[in-house]
Amino acid sequence: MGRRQQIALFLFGVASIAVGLLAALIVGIPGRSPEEPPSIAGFVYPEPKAISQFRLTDHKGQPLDLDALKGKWSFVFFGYTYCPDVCPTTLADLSRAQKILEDAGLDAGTQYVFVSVDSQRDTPRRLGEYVGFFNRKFVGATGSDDALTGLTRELGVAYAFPEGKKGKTYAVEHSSIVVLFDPDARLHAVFTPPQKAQEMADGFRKILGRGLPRPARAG
Amino acid sequence: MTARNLSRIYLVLALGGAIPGSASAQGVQVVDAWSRPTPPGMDVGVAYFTVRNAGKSDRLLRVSSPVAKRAELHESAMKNGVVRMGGLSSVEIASGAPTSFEPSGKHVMLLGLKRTLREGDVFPLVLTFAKAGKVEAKVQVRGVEGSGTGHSSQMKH
Repeated sequence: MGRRQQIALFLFGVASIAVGLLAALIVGIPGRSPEEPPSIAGFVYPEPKAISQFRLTDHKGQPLDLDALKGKWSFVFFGYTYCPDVCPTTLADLSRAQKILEDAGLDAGTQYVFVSVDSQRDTPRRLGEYVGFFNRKFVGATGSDDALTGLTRELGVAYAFPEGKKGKTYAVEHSSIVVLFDPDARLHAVFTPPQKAQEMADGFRKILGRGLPRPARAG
Repeated sequence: MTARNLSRIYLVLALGGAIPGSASAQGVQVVDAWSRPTPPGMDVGVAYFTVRNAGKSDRLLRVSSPVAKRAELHESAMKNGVVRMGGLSSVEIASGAPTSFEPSGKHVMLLGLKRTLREGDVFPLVLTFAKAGKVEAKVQVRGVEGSGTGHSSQMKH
């Protein structure tokens, strides 16, 4: 066989595999939603992403783990109560989004969790006062760095304390995303800053309209 | 309750001024000054406003308020979705275009609040400019619902 034919055969082989793969993608992979994820002010995961168990403490001092996210759609935001600007802005918008959804009758199966990455200053009691101030439906939660590390890494949430933090007034750098979990406690969508109340409510409505993709298969 | 209301009224009267929330000196005007109510036990707060400058370019050097031990010029900067808040030593106030201090941007951080800020409260904020000198603004505490992103969205409802 000449060199040309060899190349032609190789190319034919590559093309066949490509066509086969493409066909399998279009027709064959079970459980995959054929629709495009809806477009929101952020992004929707094409496949909801399962996350590992975690263990935080809520503002009543009760454990809050992966199971607490099951059975409801959960909006989760990370921050800290001494944050004077971005956190109250986002929580005010999230609170208005809750009211928009409530007025639309879409709020019954939702919950809202503010996770403080600053457990040193944010005690459960302080968190309770803080979140309740924005919205009585809001739940506050926090945990030690050890408890937060796994969860925040899986969600792509970054946070960092200043070097040599002193006193009570240090600022904490943190990702300002609102994460949406589906009722199977899977990471479903992310609302990126600046999160506007109406945009979050509209995005959630679109996601609900899409229906809940089947749970990923075990194993 | 009555005493508190009276003291508020007194505060507003004492500040005088015909247009609430505006203050001016040599072409520099501070308008739409507002703040958020603070949750119980919280001793940090924020103030937002717009500086209009019809005169020559100026520089905002310092801020202070009788409601807080300290007031600092801050800016929240967003990078890859991560927000980082840092202090500003001063802020350039250009001539002509307004300079906005707004949510998730430049703002005044109030530290060591001496009292809880409640919706409807009005408190003074003194801004010191390099050229215009001291300008006092009256800061209106808005409701929680009116303290989210953007001005236009707050006006609805």
